[in-house]
Amino acid sequence: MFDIEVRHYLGRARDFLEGMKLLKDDLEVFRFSAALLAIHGAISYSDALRVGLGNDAVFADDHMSAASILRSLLLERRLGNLRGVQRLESLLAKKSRVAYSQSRLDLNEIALIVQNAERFAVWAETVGKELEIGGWRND
Amino acid sequence: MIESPTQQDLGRAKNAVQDYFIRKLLIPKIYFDADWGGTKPDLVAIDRAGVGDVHVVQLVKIATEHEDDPTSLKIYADILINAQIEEIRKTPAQFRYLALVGLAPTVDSYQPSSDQTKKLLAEDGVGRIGILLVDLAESEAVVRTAVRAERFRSSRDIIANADIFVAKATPNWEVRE
Repeated sequence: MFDIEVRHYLGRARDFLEGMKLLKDDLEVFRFSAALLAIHGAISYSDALRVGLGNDAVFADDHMSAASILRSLLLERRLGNLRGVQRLESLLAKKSRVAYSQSRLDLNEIALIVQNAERFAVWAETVGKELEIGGWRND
Repeated sequence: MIESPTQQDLGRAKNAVQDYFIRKLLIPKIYFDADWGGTKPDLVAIDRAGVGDVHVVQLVKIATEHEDDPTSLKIYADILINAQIEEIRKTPAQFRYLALVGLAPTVDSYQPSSDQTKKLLAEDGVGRIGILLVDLAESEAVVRTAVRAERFRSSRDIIANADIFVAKATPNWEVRE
């Protein structure tokens, strides 16, 4: 029903992750850019899953509720593996700090954000396919 | 067990090609020497956590005596590639590659002729076998693209194969969930 929207968010997610991948080899220089792409990639994956599961109320400024909405939708579909939702929560909790905080994030913290985003992407890709979400195709 | 120098070269080449696909694909799962769709390619890489396109690679080692002379290398490499084209063509995957492996920097200069490049195409033109060049002479093995692979038609069989394969086989490299 929402195939076009799913493809839109999925394309955005993969695009952000590709960008993060390019920058992650030099986190010393691109720490904030890589971290923001990681977090936004995860948000877009989450949006693709939410829309594909019937929740099209995806708003740009409402990221904090994204994880709990996604959890509810997945529980409705009786999905047992919710590890990705925890990773999403952890990534969302860092968004403001990465984007706006004046405190310096150390490289280990940035590396963890990137790693979490990659692991979240693995989970999201697998769940999207497993739940046979319309529009979750390999463009 | 002590491996022969050729086996060791091929092992280094597998690692180099693996690094190439880690950079090229998004969170892939990569397998060495796996039984894949009735064939045994040296490397299988499945994009997007194992749910995306399948890339298969067959390594082709150039004998040392042909490596120093570019003319000899070109003739010999063409023969080797011709011998492998039909096998890799039969391997079910959306992307298929032959990787020439050499110890001398001359391998990096190999470029197939236009006739040779035509042979790499699928009969209907949808898909082209890619040629990678693996130079092991450097302190760090280097992989370069000589012919860019083009996507072959996908099929239910490839997708079904991939689902079963990912569920059973252990990847040599993956981002774990």
